[in-house]
Parts: sequence; structure tokens; C-alpha cells
Amino acid sequence: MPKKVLVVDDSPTVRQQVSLALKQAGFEVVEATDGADGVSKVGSDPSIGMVILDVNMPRMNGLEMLETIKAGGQNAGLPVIMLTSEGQQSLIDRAKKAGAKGWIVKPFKAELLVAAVKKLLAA
Amino acid sequence: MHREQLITVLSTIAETLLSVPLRTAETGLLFPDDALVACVLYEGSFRGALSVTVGPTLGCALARLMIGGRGPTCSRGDVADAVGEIANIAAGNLRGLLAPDCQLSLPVYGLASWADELPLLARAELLMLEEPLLVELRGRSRDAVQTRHVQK
Repeated sequence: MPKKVLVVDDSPTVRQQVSLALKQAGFEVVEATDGADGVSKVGSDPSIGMVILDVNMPRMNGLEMLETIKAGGQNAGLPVIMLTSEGQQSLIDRAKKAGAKGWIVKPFKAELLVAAVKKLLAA
Repeated sequence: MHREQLITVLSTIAETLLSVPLRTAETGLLFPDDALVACVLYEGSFRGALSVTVGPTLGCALARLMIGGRGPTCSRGDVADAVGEIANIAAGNLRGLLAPDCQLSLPVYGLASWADELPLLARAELLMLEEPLLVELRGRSRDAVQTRHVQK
């Protein structure tokens, strides 16, 4: 089971929060500060096995990053969970259509996020 | 109506994200001069702003709580990011009730001058860790804005 998770969020606080929960559960974590940084990290690190992705970010938002990596190439099969304050159905539908495997609305319980990551990586 | 929703959202954040109790203040809140205001703007069919105001003591506590009490520092940047994220979560959770199609800004600090002129829709004066926490929602629907312009 691949254990490296990319956490993409423009908030350093959220990145630390998510990273801490995942590291305590035994995952290796890398971080990206926005969608553009995330695309770059995914492209340069083939050991990344999953992405946790915020939506509302500068430069490139999470949906744009999702659509970019799912558009083709070697990372199109990478599982992605959206983690965001947005609960808007049209955004959820767009993410599902683009290939997101989950949508977690903030505020979230760390245990819920870790469980979702474990489930997806085991699938 | 919006006040209860503000309190519900902030209570959920306090319980889920921070694991601290939150209660409504019985008297008016007093903030020091160096209080921080984090604001998320709504643009679209609803134009408005949700702001969260905290003093430095609670701001520092929030920054530490959000990363499990492990934050070694409490810089102004740490505090701004933590309070901005709380404003972002609250604004995102309330958006569906206001106008699902409007866009959220990234957190900004200090209330935008145009937002300050919008009507106050709801105000929740709260206490977290016995420190003051003020949440305000301002705004109006685009229809209301257009109507107002026609009337001028």
C-alpha cells in the first residue's frame, strides 16, 4: 500500500493539522501550498499515492488541479479527496465528474479523514 | 435568523476542530487595539462579508489548538492564518444558506471598506476560553443592490 500522501492547502495551519493526523497514522506526508505547486509535486514525485486537496486557493484552485491531473498522463489514477469548507452541490458534482473519490467538509474530525485515506489506499 | 446559524457554525468549529467550549457573551465584548479581524468576502448574487474578530490571546490559543496544541510559536502570521481559516470555514458553511452560487474570497485581514457599508445581517458575541470572539455577517443580495441603485 503506498503511504505517501500529498496535502494541498494554502493555509499552513491546515497543512500542519492534516499532516500531523496522517503522520500519527503512519503515513508519509508531503505538502503543497496551492494547486500549481500540487501539480508540480505530483509530477515530480512518483511515490505519491494519494492527494488531499483544498478547493479555494490562489494561483490554481483545487478543482483546477484535480482536472489537470485527471486529464491524462501517469497520475490520472491517483486517488483524490477534496477537503474544503465548501459544501456546494455543484462543486461536489464537478469534483466527482473529474474523478475525486471523496469530499470532506471542514470542520472535520481527524479520525474521519484518516479513515477515508486508509480506505482509499486499501481499495 | 442568521445569528443562530452563525452560532451553530462557530459551535461546530469549536467542538470539531478545536475541542473547546463556546458560549454566548452576556455583555458587550471589548477588544484591545491590536485585535485581529479576518474576513471572507462573498461575491455574486449575494455580496457581503463574514468577519471574525479576536484579541491576541485567543488568536494565539486558536493557532495552537488548530494544530493540536503543538505550535511552538505564535507569530502574527500563525494567528492570522488560523483565524482566517476559521472565517473561511464559517463562510463556506453559511454560503448555501445565503446564495449557493456566490464565490468566496481567500481570507483578508481587516474589513474591506465596501463591506463595512453593507447592512449588518447578524452579529454573534461569543466567548471561547473566556476570551471574546465576535462574528459578523454583512451583505445584501444582488437584487437588493440593484433595487437600491434604481431608487437613487
